[in-house]
Amino acid sequence: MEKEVILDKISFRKKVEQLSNLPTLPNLLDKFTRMLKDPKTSMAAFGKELSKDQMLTSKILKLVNSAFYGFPGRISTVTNALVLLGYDALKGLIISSNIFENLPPEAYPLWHHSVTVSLASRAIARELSLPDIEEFAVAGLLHDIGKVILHVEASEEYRTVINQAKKTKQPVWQTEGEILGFDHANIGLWICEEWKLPKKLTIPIGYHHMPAAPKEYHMRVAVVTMADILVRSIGGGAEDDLPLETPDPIIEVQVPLTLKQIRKLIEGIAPEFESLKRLAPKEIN
Amino acid sequence: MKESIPITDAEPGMVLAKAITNDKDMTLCAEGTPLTEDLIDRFAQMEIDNIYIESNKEMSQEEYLALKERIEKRFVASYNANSLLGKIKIALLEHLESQKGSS
Repeated sequence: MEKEVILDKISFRKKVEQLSNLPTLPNLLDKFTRMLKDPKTSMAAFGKELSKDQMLTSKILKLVNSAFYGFPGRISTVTNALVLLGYDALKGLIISSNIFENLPPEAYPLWHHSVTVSLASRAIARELSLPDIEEFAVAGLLHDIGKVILHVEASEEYRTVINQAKKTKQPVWQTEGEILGFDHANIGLWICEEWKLPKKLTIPIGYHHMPAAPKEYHMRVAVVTMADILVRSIGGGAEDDLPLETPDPIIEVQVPLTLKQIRKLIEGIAPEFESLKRLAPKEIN
Repeated sequence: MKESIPITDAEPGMVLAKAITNDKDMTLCAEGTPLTEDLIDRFAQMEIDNIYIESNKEMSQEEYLALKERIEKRFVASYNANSLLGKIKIALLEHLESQKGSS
């Protein structure tokens, strides 16, 4: 079967890497990253410095206090947000917010999917009593960041991919691989490396469709993959009702959930998804 | 019918009849959202005192069958009841039944 490759891998990767210079990624983030590089910065000092930036502060507080992102709630200072979420989770959250703001309306289901996967990742991590659950939530939020980039940067080509996947009922990521030569998880990995996100976030994002492939962070990948499966199972996939693929056995090994636990998770995320479906990203980002 | 109740009387399963917004008019939770224990806790933490709820709408037989059919469509891969997808499908169908039963 011959298919025309409509995007060139190397030039697209270059394009993705240059995204960090586009206005879509805020210069706020540059400042944030610069400050993080200084190991002497204490959390309180960092919070204080961040608070001087009105825009960033209001953005952070708006995000962390939104009921939809499910953070601990009623966070009134940036230092508080930092303590509760950690640097990495907060950085990921700022990135996600800025990226999703540019999403075209036809891709809103992708945002609904991503936020629900974020909630599900946190819920699974909590169910398994894992530490740093907010990092799982942010990995979930960003897991399909590659799809967002395809929607924004190559919308026409991407429409071809989605239509093809719907026609053949093949998973979207495999169809991307066949048509484009790379998939959205690859793009996620490139851009996360470009943004210098830590591996504990980069690997779950880059390998959520190949959870056995990375050498480390299997548990983190498995939680995000499991969250993705659960959200698709309740009808929260980004592209209609495509059939669920049989998950890699490593998922059940890393995330051993009982029927009762799965039921509890579904009961928690299904109503959240139903209410999210009515919103556009800019309403809560 | 909408009725305003204190957050202390809210119970999981009740449906929000009016969106919850903050003082900047940002929607925190949309109208039509079924309440969960987590959501109620979060509202209480946000110092929201009163919410509007709707009397529970019954799920019609047609709605139930349509939802069930959509679930079947998502699970075409071969699996047994002990596999991960098998467990998820059982959990989903149980969840659907419970929604039908409780309304």
